[in-house]
Amino acid sequence: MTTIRQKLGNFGTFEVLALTFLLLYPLFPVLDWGLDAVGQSVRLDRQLVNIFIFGLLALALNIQVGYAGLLQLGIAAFFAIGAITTGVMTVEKYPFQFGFWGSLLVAPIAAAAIGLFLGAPTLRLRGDYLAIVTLGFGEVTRIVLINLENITDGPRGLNPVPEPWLPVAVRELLQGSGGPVEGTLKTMYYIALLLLVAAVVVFTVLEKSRLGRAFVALREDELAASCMGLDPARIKLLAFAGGAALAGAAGCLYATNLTTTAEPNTYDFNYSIMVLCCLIIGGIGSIRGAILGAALLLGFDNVVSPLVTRGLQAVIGGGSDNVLASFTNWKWIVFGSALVAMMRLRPEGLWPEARLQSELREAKDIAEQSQEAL
Amino acid sequence: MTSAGQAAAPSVAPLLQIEQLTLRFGGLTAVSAVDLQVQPGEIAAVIGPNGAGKTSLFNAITGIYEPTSGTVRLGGQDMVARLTGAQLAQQLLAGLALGVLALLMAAGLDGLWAATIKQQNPQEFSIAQALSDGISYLQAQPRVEARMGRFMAVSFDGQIPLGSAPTREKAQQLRDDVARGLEKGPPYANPQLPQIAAAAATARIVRWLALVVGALLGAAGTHAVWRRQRRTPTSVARLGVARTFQNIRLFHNMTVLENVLVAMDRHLSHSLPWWHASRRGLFLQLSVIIAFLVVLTASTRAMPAADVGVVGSFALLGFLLSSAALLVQVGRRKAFSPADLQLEQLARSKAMELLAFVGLDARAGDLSRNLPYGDQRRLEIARALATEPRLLLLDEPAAGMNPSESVALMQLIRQIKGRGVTVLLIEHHMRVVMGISDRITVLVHGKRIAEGTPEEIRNNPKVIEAYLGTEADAHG
Amino acid sequence: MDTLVQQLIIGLTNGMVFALIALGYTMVYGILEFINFAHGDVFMLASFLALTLVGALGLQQQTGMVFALELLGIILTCAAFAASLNWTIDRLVYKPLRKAPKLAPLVSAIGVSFILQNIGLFWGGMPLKVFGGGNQAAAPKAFPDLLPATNLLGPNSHLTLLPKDVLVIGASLTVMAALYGLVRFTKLGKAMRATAQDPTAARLMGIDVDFVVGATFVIGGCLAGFAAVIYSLYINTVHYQMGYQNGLYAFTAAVVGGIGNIPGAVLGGLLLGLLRALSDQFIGAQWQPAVLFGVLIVILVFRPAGLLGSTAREKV
Repeated sequence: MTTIRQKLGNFGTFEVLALTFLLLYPLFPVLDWGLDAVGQSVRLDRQLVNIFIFGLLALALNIQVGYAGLLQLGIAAFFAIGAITTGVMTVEKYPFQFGFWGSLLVAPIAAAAIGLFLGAPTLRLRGDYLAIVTLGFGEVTRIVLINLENITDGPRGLNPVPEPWLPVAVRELLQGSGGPVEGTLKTMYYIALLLLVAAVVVFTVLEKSRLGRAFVALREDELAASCMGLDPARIKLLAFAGGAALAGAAGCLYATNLTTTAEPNTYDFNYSIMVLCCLIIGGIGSIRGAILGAALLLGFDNVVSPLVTRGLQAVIGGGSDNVLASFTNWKWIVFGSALVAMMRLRPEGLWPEARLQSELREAKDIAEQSQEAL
Repeated sequence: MTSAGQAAAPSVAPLLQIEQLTLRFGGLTAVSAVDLQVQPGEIAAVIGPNGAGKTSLFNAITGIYEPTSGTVRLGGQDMVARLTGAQLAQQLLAGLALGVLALLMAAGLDGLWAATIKQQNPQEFSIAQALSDGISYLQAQPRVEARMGRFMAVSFDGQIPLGSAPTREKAQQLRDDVARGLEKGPPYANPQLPQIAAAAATARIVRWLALVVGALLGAAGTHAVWRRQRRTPTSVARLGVARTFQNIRLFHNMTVLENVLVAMDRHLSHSLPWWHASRRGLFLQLSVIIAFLVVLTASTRAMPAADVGVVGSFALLGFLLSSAALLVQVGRRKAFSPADLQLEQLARSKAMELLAFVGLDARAGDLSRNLPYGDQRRLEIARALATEPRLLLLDEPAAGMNPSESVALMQLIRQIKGRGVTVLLIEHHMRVVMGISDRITVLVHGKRIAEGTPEEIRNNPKVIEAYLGTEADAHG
Repeated sequence: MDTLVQQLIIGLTNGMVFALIALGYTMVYGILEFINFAHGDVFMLASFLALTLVGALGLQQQTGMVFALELLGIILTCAAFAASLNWTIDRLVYKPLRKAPKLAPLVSAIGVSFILQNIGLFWGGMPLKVFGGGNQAAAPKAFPDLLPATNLLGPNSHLTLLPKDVLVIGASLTVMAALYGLVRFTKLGKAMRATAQDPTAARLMGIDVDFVVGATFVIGGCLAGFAAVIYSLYINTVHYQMGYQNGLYAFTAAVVGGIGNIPGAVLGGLLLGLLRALSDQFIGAQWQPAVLFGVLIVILVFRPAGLLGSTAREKV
């Protein structure tokens, strides 16, 4: 009883069950079997890959906004840099052809380097200035990517981005009887899940580590923290570069999953705000919250929105020319209202971090231990 | 003016030496030409009526305010960071990087890419060729571009076609002919050449300008940012000056223990070389992962398909195993490597010792916001001591304390002195000040009016006048 | 030389509009210390109102007293609309968050900005003639060219100076002078400056801080509504994302000039307008945002508080 609980640490029963479900789902897509029976098709595993990738992106933003308290409004730029780097490093028309695994290494490095270049002169500025600097950076990155048409192929995007290389045996195992398309889907599913789990584990530890403590101190009282010898500029830069790197890795996955780097306009301000929405809805600074937010937002976008549109069109009538009849057009009213409502009613988010509680328990343990030692 | 202080000047070098410190905000002079010395191992105090500039003085010492004029020295050293060779190199490097970036922007990154990477066949890519193409592109020489399956020699900006050929070699010959023609100078055989030559000359000037201006801006900008950071609260704290605050500034949502641990942070990291065991484990595993990713990449590119399977499988296995090893280690929750864990436990026991010293060890697990007022003041002292300071600045430590608490506080400050930490405090509680100080400085309206032992200060007519005067003002 | 002067004229007119919007940002920031992201979208909605009114009145290019009065009426209506919208947003959304952490009003403002943008999208879908029958809600809408296109410098001049250039510059200068007078010489202006410096002290001195904040939003809204009409007349298109784009420029202008500083916002706006015109001419329009962003970073590195701003000290 004790050993298993201890080894799992603060990964609770819920996390274990969720992980088991996610690991097994592609092999036994029960939900889809059920829906197939009634003639509907959702393909939950396909949605889940997107949620994993978006969750990674939300976690990346969480380092910057949640941990370091930097209001970053241009996370999509680093996501785009990761995706484009992956495209340049893998497509056939360029000589690099590093493949997925190589670009999984290069994309975060490129994103982090650009993050450092942007962060070093600007992170010492007031918080609100950083918001406008990152917002501007997001816009400029998008426009530069469109303008560098020789490199990025402009609006067409670089493609095809090859799928990750795996040994034939593993590939055949994943492919099963489903054919190559199924094989690729499962490959992406498990790679994305692996990276997401790794990120969750690393961040859970980070929150308990020295660096995590420094983040909290800095958010609570920057001046007092610096008078204790912490270097705010350095710690913020670390968070900024780290977030950029993870966003770059997410971009690499995104491009590979999509098999194209997509149009640069995809990575616009709205995209950055959607990621911020994930954090606000889930709970700023909360790992689980970020992933929950990603699931809710993508769920809304890909599942709820089409359903409501069908309903709307049945009620209002009106064809494609009625702007009110497509629920996609309502999306930003919904997201905007969600932001306003969350800030007013539940600023800590739907699934706030339980850090303080667990911290309390732990510190008491240590106090007792050291008293015993005395 | 302060004959007593000057006459008794001891032979030991002062730990803190402030000379002619002036602090001005707009029209308001908060501190004006103040001299102050603190000897190692003593308890010094600054007193004065409200608004005398005491806290401003502390803020100037700890780097929160930049002094308008005057110097603050710690252990005989100026506390302003000097420009070291490494920093100079860093600034020059930043300048170089920005210069190159500006050059690339002026020359057109897009064109550079077309001239170096895109015109080559990806299967027979040659880095040397790309480099030489790149250099001639940056020099605004004519270049070769691949267009619609053919190869064209074009002017440096890609605007004027100079000839088309089915192979790259032919196109290169065409380009070289034009380049030679351009080099020879007028009269030009080709009517397009004068136009190209003029445009290229302008482009070269623009590119040089961009390089130089970019480099200057980059170096100057990095230097400006560094200049603003020469003396910050962080750098002062790291020199060995710790402080408490008049209005308590604890990390309220952290536990008592964590408050102290945060202050130990720099001893947990910056005293360690990067190859120390606590970092080595993490570095080792990360490098294993990276190495395998590199092998995996290389193997999928350069090898025959059959070998890729073997090498790649091993590499993938290695990647998965090392990732798993890292995750397992990380999964131990408190640290990224076993040595990190040891260090953390050492820090925790030290922190508990400090908490015991101020009498808060029983409350280590409580949130600091839940402590009573007097305990919060003592926690701030423990937190400041955790930075292992040479000099401890206490800003009104007895404020809001009842008589028995302030007696305990006096005892605590004497014990801090006993640990070899020099103390400089601001205090209104005369009983506390007179009871523990070795030397007292009196500030009124930002000026120093007296300095001496408690006995001398008690009997100094100026001090009495200043205090009674302000009292009378306050009540009148 | 001619092109340079021509670009200066274009830059000046654009800069005036940026300055008008930037004033709204900077005044709110000066008092509440948060970026009112929704400000640009208030500007956008006022432009849509202006277009709707023009369509409803059936205005055409013409001259005469009646026309001038109608135009003035549109300006006043739009200013009043934008002012009341801005004030309502403050009361409903920002006011309950005055004591909340800084992130809360900022995120709410982003939310409001998206709501307003979406409303703009729907507005563009209205089945009106001026909106192209509302068939393509997201497309840019043409704003009729109400002012004559005669060159004031004579038909043979190499330079063009249109009546609308004069209108933009003249009207903007008038409004800015009025604002300066208001802030400098009236009791409300004094109260605003006092509140900007220290809200708590201002409250203790008997200033109704809530009223001052409300007045700031009303004045900022007025300026945005005014700028909306002027800008639509000048640029001849209305689009639901114009608030975001111009707001970004205007806020950058406010930061460049020194946020919270009223002359700074005007200076920053003019500077940005000029830079934009020059970079369009000499570097290429597609690089315009990149150039402006680079200038922003350079200014912030060398003068972190902006050109006219002063560094605020944290009270310890």
